[in-house]
Amino acid sequence: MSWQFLLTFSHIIGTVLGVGGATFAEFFYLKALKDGHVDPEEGDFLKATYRVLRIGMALLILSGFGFFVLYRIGGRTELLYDPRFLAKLTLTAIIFFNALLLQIKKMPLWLGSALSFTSWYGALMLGAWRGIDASYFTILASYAGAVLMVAFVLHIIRKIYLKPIPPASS
Amino acid sequence: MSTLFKTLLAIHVIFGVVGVIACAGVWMNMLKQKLPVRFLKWSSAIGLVSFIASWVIGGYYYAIYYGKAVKPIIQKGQYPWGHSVFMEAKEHLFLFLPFLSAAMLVALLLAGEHLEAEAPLKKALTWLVGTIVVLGAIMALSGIIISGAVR
Repeated sequence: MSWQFLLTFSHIIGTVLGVGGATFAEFFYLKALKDGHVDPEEGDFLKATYRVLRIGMALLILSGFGFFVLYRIGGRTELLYDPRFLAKLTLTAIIFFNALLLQIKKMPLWLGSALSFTSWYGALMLGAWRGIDASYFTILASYAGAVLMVAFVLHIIRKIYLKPIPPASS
Repeated sequence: MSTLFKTLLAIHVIFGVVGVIACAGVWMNMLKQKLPVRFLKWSSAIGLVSFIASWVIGGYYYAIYYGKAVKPIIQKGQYPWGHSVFMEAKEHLFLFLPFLSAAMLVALLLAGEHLEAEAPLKKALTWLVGTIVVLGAIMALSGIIISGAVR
């Protein structure tokens, strides 16, 4: 088994856990808020989801730096200045600092969930879209636009899903 | 690059990243109301050991190999600031991390059980750990920039 295979495999697993975790975190949170409060069982689900997200992130970072070592040792250092690689690093930093700010409640929830959701899907997209021909700033500008769009869509979903059900008329 | 230096470079990066992740774990958990003290102590110990290992191995690589074989390539290449800005900064930041993380571990070992009750100490320690994580992340990113300039 080559290092390249091992790193790609860990990177994919990390991304899958992160993207899946971000999706389920949003889903469970929405479901938990349906009745107006997060009960203990729902809290446990959310905690487990956040743990999966953190494991995904640690795997992603470790395998990402593994690729860095592989490129450096293999003499493919030009890949380290590839806009796609630098954009992925930026998204990873955003995911980390967003989680930190959410933890100390310094990040509004609407923006925090949009950032988490978009960053994880953005990292997945950058990983999958190998032939992308865009500069670092184009990628980040598209990402910023996507964050706003996702925030708007999540807002609409919350509004529809959390709408109080009118009492049945007799 | 010989197999020895390839291995040293890989181990230096791995220990450095593990150190930053361990300290980031301490930072995230220091922000909680109820502190998992046992986790904080273990994670900070892993952080300190990793930083020391990365420090020694990276220092050896730098002293024996980098100056002779890598630095001239960067200086003659397209991105000389890879060395003049980032490696120069890294050389100095490099000195801080093991000492800061030793202070973190000692504080947690001595006062870990009382941190929840002593808000000013908890706040100061949270700032210390945050500084370690940010410096560690800057070191890691500088490493990528320096390596990218080797061509």
